Amino acid sequence: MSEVTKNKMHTVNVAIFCGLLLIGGIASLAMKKETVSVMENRKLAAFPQYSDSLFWSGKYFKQIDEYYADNFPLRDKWISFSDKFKSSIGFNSSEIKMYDPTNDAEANEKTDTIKNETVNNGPLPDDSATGEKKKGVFVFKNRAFEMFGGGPEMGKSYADVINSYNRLLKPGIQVYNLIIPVALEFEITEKYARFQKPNRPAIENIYTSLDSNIKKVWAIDEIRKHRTEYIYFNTDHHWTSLGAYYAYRAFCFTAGLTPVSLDTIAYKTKPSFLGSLYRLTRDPGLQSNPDSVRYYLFKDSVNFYIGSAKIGQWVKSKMYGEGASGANSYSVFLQGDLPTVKMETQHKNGRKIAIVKESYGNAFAPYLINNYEKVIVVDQRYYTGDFIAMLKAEGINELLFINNIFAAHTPFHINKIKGLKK
Amino acid sequence: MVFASLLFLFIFLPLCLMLYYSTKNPKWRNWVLIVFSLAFYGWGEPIWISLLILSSLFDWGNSIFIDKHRGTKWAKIGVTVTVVFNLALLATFKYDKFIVDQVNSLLGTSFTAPGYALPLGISFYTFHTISYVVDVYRGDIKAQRNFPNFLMYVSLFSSLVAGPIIRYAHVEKEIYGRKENLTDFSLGVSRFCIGLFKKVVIANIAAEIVAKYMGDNRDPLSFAELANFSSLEAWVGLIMFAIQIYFDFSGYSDMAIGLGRMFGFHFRENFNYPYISKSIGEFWRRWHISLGSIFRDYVYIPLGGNKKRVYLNLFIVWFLTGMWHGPSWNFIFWGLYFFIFIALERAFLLKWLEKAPAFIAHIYALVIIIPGWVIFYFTDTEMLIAYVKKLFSFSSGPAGNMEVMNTLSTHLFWLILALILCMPVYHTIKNWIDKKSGRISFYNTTVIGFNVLLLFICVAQLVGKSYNPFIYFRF
Repeated sequence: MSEVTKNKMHTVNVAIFCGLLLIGGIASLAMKKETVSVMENRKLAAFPQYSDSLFWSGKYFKQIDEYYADNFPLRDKWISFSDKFKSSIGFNSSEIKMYDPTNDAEANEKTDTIKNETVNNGPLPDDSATGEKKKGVFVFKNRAFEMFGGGPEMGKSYADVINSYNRLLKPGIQVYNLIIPVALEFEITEKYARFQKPNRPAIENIYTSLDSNIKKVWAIDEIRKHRTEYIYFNTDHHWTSLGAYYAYRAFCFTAGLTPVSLDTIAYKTKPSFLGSLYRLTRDPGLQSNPDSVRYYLFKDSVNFYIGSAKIGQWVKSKMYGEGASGANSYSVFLQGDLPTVKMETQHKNGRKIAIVKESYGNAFAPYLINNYEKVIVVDQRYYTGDFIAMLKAEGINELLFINNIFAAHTPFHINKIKGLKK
Repeated sequence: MVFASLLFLFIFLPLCLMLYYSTKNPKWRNWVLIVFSLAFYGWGEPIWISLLILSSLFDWGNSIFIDKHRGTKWAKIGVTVTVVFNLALLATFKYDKFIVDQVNSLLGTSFTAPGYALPLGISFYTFHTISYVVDVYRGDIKAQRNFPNFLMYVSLFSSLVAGPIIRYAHVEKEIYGRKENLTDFSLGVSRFCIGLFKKVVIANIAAEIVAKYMGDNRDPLSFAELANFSSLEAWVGLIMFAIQIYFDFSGYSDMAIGLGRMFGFHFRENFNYPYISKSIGEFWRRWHISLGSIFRDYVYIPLGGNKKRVYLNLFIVWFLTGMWHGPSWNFIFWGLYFFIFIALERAFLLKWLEKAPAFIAHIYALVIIIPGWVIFYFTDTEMLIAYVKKLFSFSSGPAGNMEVMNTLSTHLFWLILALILCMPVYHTIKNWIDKKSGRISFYNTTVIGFNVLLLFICVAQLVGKSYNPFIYFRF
């Protein structure tokens, strides 16, 4: 190659490199900044406020780095390109097709009937399916699972907090506790059994630590009978309305109520829901296995109110947040995590229940309008009012603490529940 | 600041290049580099800029003093002061806790270390200045009379924080009035892109797998976790670390060399395909070459080199080489581990290896080098022993090897690429194409597109790294 062509090549090489850096640099400074990433469910880093201590510790610059990366032009497109690249550097696990009995409708029915006869509390026998840990969750058969690892001490301190409410509120209020297992409990195979602690012993640990007059709801056993049904989402950490229904059935059994049958109830569905665990892992197998969120339109009429920290202040609204869509589809239930909501029905039977919950309770609470005169739902994380006074003011005579097994083993949640008492 | 970050790529570098090339005056060009280098350094730790400048000023003054009193005892005192001063800096800021711990355990005392945060790059710039002052003392180079020029040499951002260790003698003529040109700039660009790719795409992805099997700072490996691993999983973790550290470090050196070249500097190579070595001695002539040559020229040869007490000299050199890597016994063990094999090679092993078929020598070298990384990795001795036991127990874990096989298969193409890049195929292909293609060089035309592709992938990975979703909003 002649020197002239060589020089031209070098000119082009340098020009393109510098041009790209310059364009990127100018675009990054000029383009409009977002404040929230919907996909990631978080606020994007903001430009740091200057302070001397921040400056000398070097954190000021670190925060500028974060701000810059969070606000890079076309960030979503870069991220999705990065995902595609990373899933193309080998054989994607979803490309290796293995026989998977849970995907086979006929086999499904058979296992269902077998499972109904003999309830197996342990992991499923091994099949040929392979899973992997990704970003702290277990990705298996195109589904993602959180892995439970809570210890008995934590479970006991959760029980202590529930006991303290029971002692404070008896005899006027009957306390219930319902611990929701997580999906992996029902899907884990022998091979991966070490990935999480079995849920039932952890729930037993809590229930045996509870006062004897607290009613314990064995939702886990009822749910287990239906382990092959669509009870948990594939791509989200929540349960489906069907999973919540089986917990509701168990609750009715404990509380002496007749559960409503789902057979004749109309429902609506929010399709193509890629939930939190997909957003966390960006796993292409999960992407190929999106969820749908079904919510039931009960025949009984209900008045739904949104409350505030102030006792007796209720604003009429709707039980379902039908505008919820896409990544937020689960927020359809009770319009998401509101601090407190109230449902009043035409069942004038004198039964008035309050529920203390995190987001798992949202899919559960609507079923109770079929059995109760009044249902008040309190989110343990966000309610700031005087909880005990509110119970009295509303004439509550039953109180259910419903929590997923993670929340029941997390100091944050335990403290929040404790804190409701003020 | 680090090279592999969006802010460096899209703000710092273009701004620095623009200002640098906006003037033709070599004095102003050097000032641009000084200002940007200090900003680069201070970005992480503004407070330690003062130490960098003070130590440069001290050694610069001392070098002029030595030059003036050449041949007298004052010159000797001057060089001793510099060496002691710089080693004292290292002892104070890098080895304080290590030294205090040893003293406490020997004497049963309970002194507490001052516990300074390690000033970035101190291991590199102290070696820059020591080598410079010693070379002035030896009369190999003239003392630099102009402080800004000297400060630019010490603080140059391309090699300040992670090497290579630039010897003043090698760039003496380029400190002031160097000849920047388009060809160098262009070759620097290509070199930088390759280095960035090695760091962002090979090393960072390897690091994810390493974290899974060997733990990392954020989530260290626990004994319970290790007990659940199979030996294969432990080996995969270790081999991934061998990949990670090579591509991380050599990628960084590539970027440093490439950046230097954009500004007209010609730094020497720091890596030369170390994993194709046929002996441990050869490995250390191919791995972190700038460090090895410092220890050779300023420790090993002055001690007497091959001429007297050779094994003691080797022991000292490898003890210090190990220690340089970090204030912890495992690094010293790691250095001495290499001392053992280098001593054996000198005694008889090298003669055997030279007679043996090449593949035997290659396997020998890898079989020593790769397990060596486990000593480098774990600063906790108990964990180190447990991990070594796991490696050599050849046991299967309770979960079998399905997961690790899956990890390998989901990274298969990447792994093949990484292994190929450990070998000098790139240069072989380049030379072959250059020779075959007559008028239009295929290599030169594709290299531009190639750079763009590498840059594109790296930027995506860097943006992807900021992807940080929260399952539980507002928790």
